[in-house]
Amino acid sequence: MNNLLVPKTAVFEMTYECNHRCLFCSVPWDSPRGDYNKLPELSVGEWKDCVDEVIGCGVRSIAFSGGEPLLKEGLEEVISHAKGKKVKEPVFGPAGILTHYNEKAPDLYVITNGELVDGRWAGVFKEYDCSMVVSLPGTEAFRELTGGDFQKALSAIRCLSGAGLDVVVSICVTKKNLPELFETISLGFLNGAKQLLLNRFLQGGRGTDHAELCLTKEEITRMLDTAEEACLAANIKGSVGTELPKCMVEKEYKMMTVGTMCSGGIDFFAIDPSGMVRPCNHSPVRLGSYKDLRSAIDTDYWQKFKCKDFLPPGCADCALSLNCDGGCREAAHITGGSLDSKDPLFYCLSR
Amino acid sequence: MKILKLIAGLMGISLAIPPAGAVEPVTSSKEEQPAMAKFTKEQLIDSLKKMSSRPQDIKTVCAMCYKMMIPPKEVEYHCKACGNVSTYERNSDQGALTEQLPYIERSLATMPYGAVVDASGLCSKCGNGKDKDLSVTVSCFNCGKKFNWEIRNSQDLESMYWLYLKPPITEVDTHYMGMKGNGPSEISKGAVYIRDHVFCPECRKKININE
Repeated sequence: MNNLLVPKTAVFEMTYECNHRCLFCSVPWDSPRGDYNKLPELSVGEWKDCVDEVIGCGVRSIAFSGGEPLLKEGLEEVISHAKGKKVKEPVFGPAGILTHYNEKAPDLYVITNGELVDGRWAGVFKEYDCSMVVSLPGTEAFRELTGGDFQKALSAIRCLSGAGLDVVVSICVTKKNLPELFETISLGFLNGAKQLLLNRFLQGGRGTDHAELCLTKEEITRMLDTAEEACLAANIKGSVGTELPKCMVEKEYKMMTVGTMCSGGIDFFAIDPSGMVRPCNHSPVRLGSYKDLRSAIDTDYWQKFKCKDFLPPGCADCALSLNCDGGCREAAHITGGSLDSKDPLFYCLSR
Repeated sequence: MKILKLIAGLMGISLAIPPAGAVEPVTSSKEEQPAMAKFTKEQLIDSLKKMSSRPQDIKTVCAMCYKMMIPPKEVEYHCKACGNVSTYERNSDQGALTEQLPYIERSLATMPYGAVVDASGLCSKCGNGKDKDLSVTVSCFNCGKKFNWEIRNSQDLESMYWLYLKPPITEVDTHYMGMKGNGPSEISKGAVYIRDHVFCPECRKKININE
């Protein structure tokens, strides 16, 4: 009997549209391979139906992403609809045993590049108690990497935090912006961000053809050391969202949490602009409509995530595999051809 | 996964009664099968005796240290037998066991001990009255007789790293082992751990490893 439990977080990729052209962007529809055809986007009414469906299946948190979600006409209506729903949150007694459930509104997150954020949007997000994630991939390298305006991203962080919202500064770290990472993190914090989310660059989407942006093991260490230093100085916690192979993490960090276990398909999943579901936002593999979520989870592909049945053969006799998936499995899939290929980081080592 | 388990099970049976004179390690091709290198019971016993009686001869290394990711609040156990869903706080022992279960099953399937994990204790329906832990059945590496041991908490999970050691054991990476210390006493404890989790109670007496 397959494990059909629905992850607690759904990432709603509201639209294909974006006002940035990030070299590192991993959305599958922008892959140069052109093998992810853009089916028609869901209407606002259909997104509201999607909210009902996934919450009915047990989802407790929704992250609005894209593309750039603020470009989706009717985003506010969908957010308002989601906030009006009720979800069950477990309450535990001694020894971690479930005692009962509390009813509450779902947790909502908005992941934005900040370009369109203004006082009105900040008010909307405040009204619906959204947590905000703003992308800030560099200072000097910002324009080259994104095509956007660094100052707008910074003022978005300021505007949102000024409105009393929790803001996470999100940085995709590449070879180009690593040298200015300390400055970037510091500016994010100084403008009001209360948490740091680092993502190491992984090939996928538009980034598929940008292997030159990949970090080496030494650069990964430098990234973590730099982030730790900035977080210690600001007394702010940070984490690395894209899991690393455990053998590549050389130190213990006090402020930075470094993930080594993939939570795709288990703790979260993605729904693309047409309503098709994928086990992870990095994945180019569509497994069905949100209307039949459990059938998608029941597929062999999704079950590989559930059962952790995707470890590279070279990692099979490593003791660290008790807490490690050998890095990002979908990036490995994109660069190596299968879920159990090596993480791209290992190709950087051999280059 | 089922195929992997089957292969590991078959390996466990064949290795429990090794062919006469088989003393050289036989390595399996990682391209064909993601499993640990094969070794004989004699090689394993020799290593355990050395670890136990002369632990100072085993080199200890520590290349790195790490911290687990801060876990989310809850974890759900889906019972394969009855389909029931049991919810645990992720920071509890049961939560840790539930979260790690796919990793434990995956790891044990690569080892030559024919291990089968019974997680029904975590099911609030099937496991009613049972201890809320994982019961592992393995085939004795010496005689092939099946016996059980339990994984109850995070400490038991950390100890499982010992099972990855492959003879001849000449060094122990203390980073892998999650050890508090890395001296000879830890090595000796490791030898006892491997003995107790790989050999049945009767064969443990014959192996005669110092506690």
